Amino acid sequence: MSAGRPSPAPAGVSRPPAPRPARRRPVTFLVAPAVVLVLACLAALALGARSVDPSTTVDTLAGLLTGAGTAPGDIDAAAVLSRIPRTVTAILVGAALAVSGVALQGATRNPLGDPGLLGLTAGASLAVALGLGAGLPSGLGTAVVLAILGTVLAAVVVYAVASAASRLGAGTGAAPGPLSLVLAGAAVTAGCTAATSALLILSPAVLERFRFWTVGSVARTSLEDAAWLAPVVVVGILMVLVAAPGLDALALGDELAHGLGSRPERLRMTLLGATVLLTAAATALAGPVVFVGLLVPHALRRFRPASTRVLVVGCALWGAVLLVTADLAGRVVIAPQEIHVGVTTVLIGVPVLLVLLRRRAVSL
Amino acid sequence: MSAPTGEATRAAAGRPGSSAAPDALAAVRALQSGSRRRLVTVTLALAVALVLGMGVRVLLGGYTVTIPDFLAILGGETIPGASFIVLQEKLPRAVAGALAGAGFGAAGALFRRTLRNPLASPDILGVTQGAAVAAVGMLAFGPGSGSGAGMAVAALVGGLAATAVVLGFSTAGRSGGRLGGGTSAGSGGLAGALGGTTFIVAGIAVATLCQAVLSGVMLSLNQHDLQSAAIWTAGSLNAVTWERIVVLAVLLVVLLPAGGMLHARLAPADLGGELAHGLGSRPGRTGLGALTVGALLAAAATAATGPLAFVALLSTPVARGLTGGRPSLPAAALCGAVIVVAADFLAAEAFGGARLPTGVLTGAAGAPLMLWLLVRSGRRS
Repeated sequence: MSAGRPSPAPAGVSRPPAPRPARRRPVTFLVAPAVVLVLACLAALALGARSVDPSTTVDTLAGLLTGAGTAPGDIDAAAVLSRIPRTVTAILVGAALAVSGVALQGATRNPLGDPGLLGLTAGASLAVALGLGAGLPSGLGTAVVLAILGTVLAAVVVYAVASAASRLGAGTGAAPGPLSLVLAGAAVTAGCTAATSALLILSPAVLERFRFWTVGSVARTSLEDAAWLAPVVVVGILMVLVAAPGLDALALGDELAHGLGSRPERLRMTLLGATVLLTAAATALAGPVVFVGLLVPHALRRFRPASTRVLVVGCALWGAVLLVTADLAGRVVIAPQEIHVGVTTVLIGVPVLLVLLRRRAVSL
Repeated sequence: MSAPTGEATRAAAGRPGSSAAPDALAAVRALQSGSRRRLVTVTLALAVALVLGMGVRVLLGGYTVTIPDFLAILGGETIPGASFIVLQEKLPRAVAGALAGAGFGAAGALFRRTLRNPLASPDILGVTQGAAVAAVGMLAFGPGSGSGAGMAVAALVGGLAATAVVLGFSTAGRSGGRLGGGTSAGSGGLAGALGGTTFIVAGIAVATLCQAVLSGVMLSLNQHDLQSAAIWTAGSLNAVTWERIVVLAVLLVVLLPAGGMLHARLAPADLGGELAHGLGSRPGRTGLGALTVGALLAAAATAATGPLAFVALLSTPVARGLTGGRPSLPAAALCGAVIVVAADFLAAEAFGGARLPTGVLTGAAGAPLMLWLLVRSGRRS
């Protein structure tokens, strides 16, 4: 797949009515989101329950970067500084989830691939709750390890059940159909959620530490946590970037991909591994945030990326934009209270999914 | 042509739309003149099991009541302590469990038959979640919060609205663009949408949406409302009052016969949309009615007990297993009732001092069963 030719539409995504030349589009995927992201971050730092004017925001940031610091007792500067961790977290989580959506959709050849929709996030949540219930220390390290374990288990269960259900049903080889995957994901989500609430009700001590984990939010992270997990997210995104050219071949089916010289099984393992890393890191940071992985790639494919690598980079940037703005909107709309990002992304994501279904952009 | 009737029905039900003519003929014969003996036996056995289960729920457990005492209390006598526990705690829970279970079970049977998919049920497709959102909204913001009738009305509206949204998004746009690969019913429009897979994915999306709104609303509630809302949204019989039971009972008296009638009229739909149409039935219209009644049943039950996960989904396959593959609304309703009463007893008594909400138990136990159903549905088709 040379980057010069327009890539074939991935499985299950219909072409937009009027094909447009592909080469014109690096702006959509690289420059525009980068600019928008910077603006969104500035807005996210400035606005909120106590709004700060832009110049103070920039001054505070400059002071932070040059090491000059801020005057003690400057409430505006303190407000800006207090919003830095959640903004950084939103960038990381948004990028991780959007890229994991691309990887999952490619690896399962399923247009409805989203870590939340397929039950992976619920598995991660349950594993973390179980760990806390078993008395493990509540540090971020344990949370990440547990989240990875939970994500892997959920992925294995969902994939195994769905392929068992589709294998004899449709006779399309080993790849499970989207409907079976989504149904298995719904079952795993419901079961994990019930088990998590059982645990929380049986052990009040866990409830105290875990209460806000049931809804995704970037409000409770620290900068240290974010810095700790940033490398994991970067590694995950790099894995997807390396595997990206193979996604086009994978979309043609295992046999054809093999014939084109790629190794479908290895590729799929890389992609699924990256998905697990990214989902687990995002969930450990922010709790269950769903639909980002579905929303961003589908929206960007409409703009016909020049290559899958460009799509992946675009997804990372636009995913970060989406989460930063979602967090900002949740803070501003009903200030001083907040709508958590976990709720906001679903509120945006479900209508989009419904419209996709209605337009038959997603074939089942 | 003289295939065993039960087998033929199962074959036809398992492969909607693809059954060959001889199969279909045998299935129609089976539907018309099949032996009803097993069905009657199973229904009676389930009724007996329900009565026994309710008896166990009322008499045994952490606080035991003897049968003579129970009869005396029912007769109007007052026994200090026991009277209160039986009349305000044990008996309401048993009755509400049975009624709500019947509602969920019947709703599941109606959805399953209309949508021709063993995994299509009101609790997967967002109906119970829609009802829950509306009821919690009523609890939080409505006047006279927590009254039985108000919550029931809100839940009914919410459940219907969720169904309408799912239906709206899966019917429209069918004529244009590519056809969904999984739609088995040949006819387009409403009947096609009801048999299609888009309906299910749209339903799951709506369920996720309602769940998120629910969590969001709950985090913004004050402490007192949060407490009651949290228990209720997990699906629990704790908050059941006689007032809610009366509301639910009245609704069931109206809805269950209507549901039974529609369920019977949908019988030809088991053969797939085209054949059913050829046999003179209107799968689209009847299906719409069945979905409406099913959504109302599920919403009414949700208003009383909260969304008890997986009850609607599981009671129909269990009932079909017992009746030898013959779809039956009464059997499914009884199965639902037995499941809820048993789950409520276990949730209250099996975990020592802690009392789990019943919905948590059905959710945790139901998920593996649903996965198993999913695998099995692939095997059969």
